Amino acid sequence: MRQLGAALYKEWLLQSRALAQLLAVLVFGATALLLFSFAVGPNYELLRAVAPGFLWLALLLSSTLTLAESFQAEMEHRALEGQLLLPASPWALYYAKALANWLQLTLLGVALVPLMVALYDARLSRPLALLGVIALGSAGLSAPGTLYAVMTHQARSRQTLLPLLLFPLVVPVLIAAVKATSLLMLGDPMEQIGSWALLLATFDAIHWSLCGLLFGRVVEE
Amino acid sequence: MAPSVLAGRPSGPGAGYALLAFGAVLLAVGSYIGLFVAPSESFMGDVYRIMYVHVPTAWNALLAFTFGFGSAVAFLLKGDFKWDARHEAAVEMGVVLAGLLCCQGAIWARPTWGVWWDWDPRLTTTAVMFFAFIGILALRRFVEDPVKRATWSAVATIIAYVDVPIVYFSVRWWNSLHQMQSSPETVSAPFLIPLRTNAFGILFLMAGLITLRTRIARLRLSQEMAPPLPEAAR
Amino acid sequence: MSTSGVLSGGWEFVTAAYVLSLVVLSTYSLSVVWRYRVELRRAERELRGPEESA
Repeated sequence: MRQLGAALYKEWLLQSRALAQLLAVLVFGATALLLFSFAVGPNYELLRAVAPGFLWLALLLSSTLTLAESFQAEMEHRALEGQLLLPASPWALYYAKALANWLQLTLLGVALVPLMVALYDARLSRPLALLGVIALGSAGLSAPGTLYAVMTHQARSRQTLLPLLLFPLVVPVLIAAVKATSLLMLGDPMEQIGSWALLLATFDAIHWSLCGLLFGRVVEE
Repeated sequence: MAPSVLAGRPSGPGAGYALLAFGAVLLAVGSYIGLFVAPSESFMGDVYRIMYVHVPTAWNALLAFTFGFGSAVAFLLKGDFKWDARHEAAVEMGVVLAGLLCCQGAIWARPTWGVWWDWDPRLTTTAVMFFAFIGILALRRFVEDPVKRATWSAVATIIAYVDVPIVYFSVRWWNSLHQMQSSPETVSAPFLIPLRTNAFGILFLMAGLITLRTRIARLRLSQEMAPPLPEAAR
Repeated sequence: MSTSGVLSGGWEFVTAAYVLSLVVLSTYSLSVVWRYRVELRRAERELRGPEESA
């Protein structure tokens, strides 16, 4: 656990220095939301219906930027090998990275909500529940995303390879998160949100354990 | 310390070719019966005959990916590169069959439902699997170190395969508000013989193809991992 | 569709499905066989190579 704390502290230091990068990703996500709205046009009913979908698409696209950069610091200074030579388990490294990515994505999602409300005339009736859905969905993106970020960072053509690997995998996250968000924003007469949240939680539980388990094999020499 | 990937006599090429030929024959026979001998179906007319290739393709695509998953696990547990070769072969075969499956599904959907794609959970999951495993083939192509390539693609296959049931259930729940369309698997065939014949036909064909494709992978691996020749031998 | 509720015709779809399956499977089979022979020839050349120069 001490190792996890140390790794997390390292992540915190990195984030503070990479504030500019965070802002850039936020601007990217906001631009995406704006551009998507042009695909629909000023049809308010339609915009309200597609708002959840576009929010999550914007978040998904932004995640490729976040994840691709997440190992940048380690790779540039060959710090990854250094960390692994220390008697630190790779699990601490993985979970710290995944938690950092998760936090970034959740913050990004939350930051995009006001824009969505403004552009898409979305109704925001249950903000805490929405925060929960964003948190669950971001967790689903960051667990496998962090694992694939390590693999693809060293490979050629990493910019295309990361989304190519990640997107099919996170289809359940996209489906469940969009469904849950739209139930929260457009009404949930049959109380279905529980089952979608459960699907997200199940996906998260499976991948946070499986990817953590396999991370050791991915970084070993 | 490169183990000889060809050690432990693999089944000779003859076995691969024989399986291939036998599978092709079965497939020809089964298709002939399915097309010309089997009677028309009560509701679908003659269009149901697509099922005689579509369902066997579906079973074998899943089988190929399952074998790929098993090979990936075996490689991670044992470190023997013959499992990596089998893994590569199985995933490639699975991708071909999954792609074919989606096209067959579209050809089925058009005359029966009027649309090319009806978001049937099974077919949609197949499309997701197709893209997921193509990504894994791309990963293999872009990683040059054979050890990393084998380990990383094995990890990716395990994650992708574990994801398949989750994808299936999420699509099913997502689609459940709409009328459940019947896919070819739920149509009862007046004749089961062509179905079983074609299923075994594609099975043997696939076994032959995976055998040969594994040999290709093993030959390439032994070249990649062969120690460099000492100067005296040059 | 006919009023009896049974689909009539549609043979062009059946043909399309079977022809597509045939084309895809045979193309892939030929590609595997061809690649296999290429690899075999290359491996044999390499085995003969160091021996001939020895």
